[in-house]
Amino acid sequence: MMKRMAGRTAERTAEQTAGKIAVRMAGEIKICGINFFLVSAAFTAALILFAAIAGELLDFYPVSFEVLFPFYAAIAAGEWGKTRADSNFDIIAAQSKSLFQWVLLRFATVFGIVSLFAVFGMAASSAMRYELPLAELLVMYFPPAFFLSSLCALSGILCRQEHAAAAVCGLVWLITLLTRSLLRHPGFAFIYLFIRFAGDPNQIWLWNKGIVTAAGLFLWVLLYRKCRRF
Amino acid sequence: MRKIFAIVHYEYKMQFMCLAAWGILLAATVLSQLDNFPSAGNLARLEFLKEPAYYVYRIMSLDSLILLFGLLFLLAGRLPLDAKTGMKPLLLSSALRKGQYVWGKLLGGFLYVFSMLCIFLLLNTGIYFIAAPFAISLSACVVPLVKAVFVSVIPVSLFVSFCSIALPGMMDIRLFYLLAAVFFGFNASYVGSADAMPFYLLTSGDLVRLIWVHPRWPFVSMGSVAANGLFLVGSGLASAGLLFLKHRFWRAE
Repeated sequence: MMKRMAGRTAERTAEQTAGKIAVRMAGEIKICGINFFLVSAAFTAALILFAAIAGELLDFYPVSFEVLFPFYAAIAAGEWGKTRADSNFDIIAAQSKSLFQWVLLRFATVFGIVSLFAVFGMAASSAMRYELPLAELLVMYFPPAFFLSSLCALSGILCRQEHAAAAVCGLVWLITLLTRSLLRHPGFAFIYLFIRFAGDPNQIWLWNKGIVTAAGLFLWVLLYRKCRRF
Repeated sequence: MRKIFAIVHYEYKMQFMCLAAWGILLAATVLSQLDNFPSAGNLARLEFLKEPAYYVYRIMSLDSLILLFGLLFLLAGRLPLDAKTGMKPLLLSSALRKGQYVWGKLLGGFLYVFSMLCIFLLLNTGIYFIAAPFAISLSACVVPLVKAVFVSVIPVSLFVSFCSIALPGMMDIRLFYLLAAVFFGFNASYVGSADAMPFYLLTSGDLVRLIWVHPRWPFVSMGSVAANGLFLVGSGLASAGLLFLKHRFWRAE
């Protein structure tokens, strides 16, 4: 009897927590505004159109889903999911139970929605030009997107200045593109963000994706420590 | 005219004091030195690094892209920021005209990008001149530097400053970032060739071939050079023109 009651209470608590998260996510979506959806939809549509008209010579999937879409995810995380640059940050930092939870929820909402658009773009592109399975596209997209977005989230909590987080990510993104020639050094291929775009000369792209994801998780450890200091 | 100068002065001062821009300049300089410092390794890797003209050409065509991308992010917020901080209603309530405000902002941004790019080139060439393990005359460094300023720095600064200030005044700033990223990403991944380069390149178009020409590819197409210059100046001016055409941007006059 006691066990049953305890089980029901745990279920209720879980439901309540899930309900709270859903309500807060809905609030975050409202804060993002309509422009977020319009720009994301326009970008996805442009990529699908590009998939239709781009010739076979172009390595479409790495360009679109390893280089461009992850950067868009980072811009979205930094601009629509801004934290310290938010005008209400001081109030939230002073009054919320956990600043980290707030940052994580905002990030998860924005990153999740952008990733949904990315998955839709992948499915639509694959329908037009089947070259790679969807699962492989997901593995290609997620690690760089997660790393760049996490970097944006970390920069967002470190810098008060607006657009600074997007600028940091933009610079990292461009420097990564410019340093492709460094792949001649052994070992660099393991940490290069856009390994499939660079041609994956050593056939180690799965290892690379794992390391990039781990680096993204490490950024979240730093972010957690920073949030605790506020 | 006095009001335009006042805005230009304010814009220039505010941007020049921005610490983030100096951080970007420093990062771009460190990266360009890692790539081009006249060390034994780099001299063995880069065939023409002993030529000061090649060094300036390389800094301008490759490494300045990082600085310009960073400055673009910082400049993009200049017009939206006035609306956000409540400065715009204050300006609208004064006797300031739309043309004075827009030209002040654009020229301030242009002078700022131009100055930062000149400092970047001077700093890098200075390091090269001091650290090179072979004798170089001062004029061998100054001549390509002056060429780079007139041939490339002016049109590139105009393009970057005018586009990054004017376009976010008309569209969502994130969409502008995305478009800029696609453009810069394409520039960064485009590989040079013996043929005429596409006219729509920012720093690696045919304009920079006027600074230094590859000995094995001596062909410089003046038509392509002119097209590159026209694209940069024309796009910058067209962005500014669009801002003038947008009636809702300022009060009816």
